[in-house]
Amino acid sequence: MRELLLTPLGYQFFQRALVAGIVIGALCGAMSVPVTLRRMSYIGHGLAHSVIGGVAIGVAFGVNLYIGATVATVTAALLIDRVSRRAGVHIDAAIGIVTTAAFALGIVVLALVPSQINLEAVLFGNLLGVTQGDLTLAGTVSAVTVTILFVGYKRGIFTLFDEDVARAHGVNVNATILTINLLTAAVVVASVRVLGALLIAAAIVLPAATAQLVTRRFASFSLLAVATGTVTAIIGLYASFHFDIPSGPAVVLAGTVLFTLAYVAGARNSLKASR
Amino acid sequence: MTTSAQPMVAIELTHATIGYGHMPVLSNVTLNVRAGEFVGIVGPSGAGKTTLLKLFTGGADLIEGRFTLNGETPRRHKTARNTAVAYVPQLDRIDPSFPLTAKEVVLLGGAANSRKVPWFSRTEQLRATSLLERLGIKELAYRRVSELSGGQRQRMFVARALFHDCSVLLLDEPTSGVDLATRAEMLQLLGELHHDGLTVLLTTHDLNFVAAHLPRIVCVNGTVTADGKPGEILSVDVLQRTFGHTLTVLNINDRPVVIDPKRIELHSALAHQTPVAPDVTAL
Repeated sequence: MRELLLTPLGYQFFQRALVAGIVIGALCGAMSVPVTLRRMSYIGHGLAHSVIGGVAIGVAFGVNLYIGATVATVTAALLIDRVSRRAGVHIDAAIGIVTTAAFALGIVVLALVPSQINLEAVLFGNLLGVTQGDLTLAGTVSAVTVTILFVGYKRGIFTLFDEDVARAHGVNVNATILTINLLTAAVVVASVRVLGALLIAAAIVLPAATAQLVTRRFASFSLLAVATGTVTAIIGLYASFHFDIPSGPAVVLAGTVLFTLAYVAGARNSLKASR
Repeated sequence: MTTSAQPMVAIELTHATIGYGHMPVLSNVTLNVRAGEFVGIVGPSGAGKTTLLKLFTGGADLIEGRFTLNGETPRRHKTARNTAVAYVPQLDRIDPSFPLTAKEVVLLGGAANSRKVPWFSRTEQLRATSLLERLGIKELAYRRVSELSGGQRQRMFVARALFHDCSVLLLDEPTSGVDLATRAEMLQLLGELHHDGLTVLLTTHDLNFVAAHLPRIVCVNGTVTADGKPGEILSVDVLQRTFGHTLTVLNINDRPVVIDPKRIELHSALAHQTPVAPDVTAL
């Protein structure tokens, strides 16, 4: 057991990946709270598709991966916000239209402009590819996200629970929702290297979905979601190292196992209580 | 509650067109509510009752006309801070699985103006507990929203509204989804709050409830179809204009009681199979 844990730490690439994984796991755990409670887990899928489009366009034109991804996701988040405010367009339709268009544009550009993009690494994450720059980005996004979530914590909960009443009580609901969308976009971009674009969506849903099965109070629910995201990332990264599998799927499967355990435990407790 | 130095008129609407964006729901609405009044807004589904309340909360738009709250023209997103409006939504509007306890919901009433980051201060915690006690649900403070009955949730939402230090309390359908005993308790509570100086506006489908208990009714269906004391305005004509079909108005003990003849017919038809008394309490 000791060897299983310590051997990977002898490699510098794993140390970097583990630090990045812990930061990103906690970050995804924190963002999973508003994403799940606002029932907009589909936005994770949507923004991930935008990332693929942005990365493809960026790489095709020789621009840094993160610049392409950031431009694509932030533009998508702003457009989703804009389109969904129009009467008659629901948010799920807005996400579907905007993000698949970004994805399609990326694929079209890739077909027209030949490039050396490692599509598998972009889609599923790559443990070996985590650089010092990735760590810096993850750290910066974490610091900004945690600060905003702390400052806007109460207004955010109020908006998520009951938009109309929050507005009546003086909360700027539109600004709060836009901030949540932009933070989700930032977390998606920061997670691309470790989790891969295709699986980020699961990482920003599973921690809160698991925590919701276990706890009753909001503060403990939020903290448990962060802890679940972190533990999931650590387990997933070790699994990725030992079984030589892509890091993204390993992290998501670890999260799914934790969710299943919480679900089964919750079902058993409910059964006992009903007897 | 902010009761001192209030202007006489709490709400003033003059030839107002109200809706969402450029889509009107209500038109040519003229309405004056004095500070400290207790008003019931009635009308059929889709008549614009909720939209009218949402104008006061900042959730709907004034497309044309004039609108003031406590003598000021409210700015969007600043409504509550400027005019101290609090809103109690319909019970079915919230997600009961949301992981909040009753006390946490009450505390949200102070979220917009709370200074401490990220948690609520000790003073705010004590205020929430005191409001839960006033509403008679202190022992439910740490129960999840999903574990509360309709009546208990209603009280929790009123406590949240009062946390906000409001002078105008708006309630959307507070009598629907609760049993008769809870409805009576809610009415008594609202009566106490009104007695303390709060301006109270509520929407309801239940004509006989407002006719029996409220001093003023505003009938709405795309516009204001009637406005006044229940005994004066509840006539067959007004109800025809408001609800679009003929209702019978009886006078029992100097109080109007509205009956839907279609229901009586239905009850009579059913009475051939199983005898039942006609329901005159709810329309």
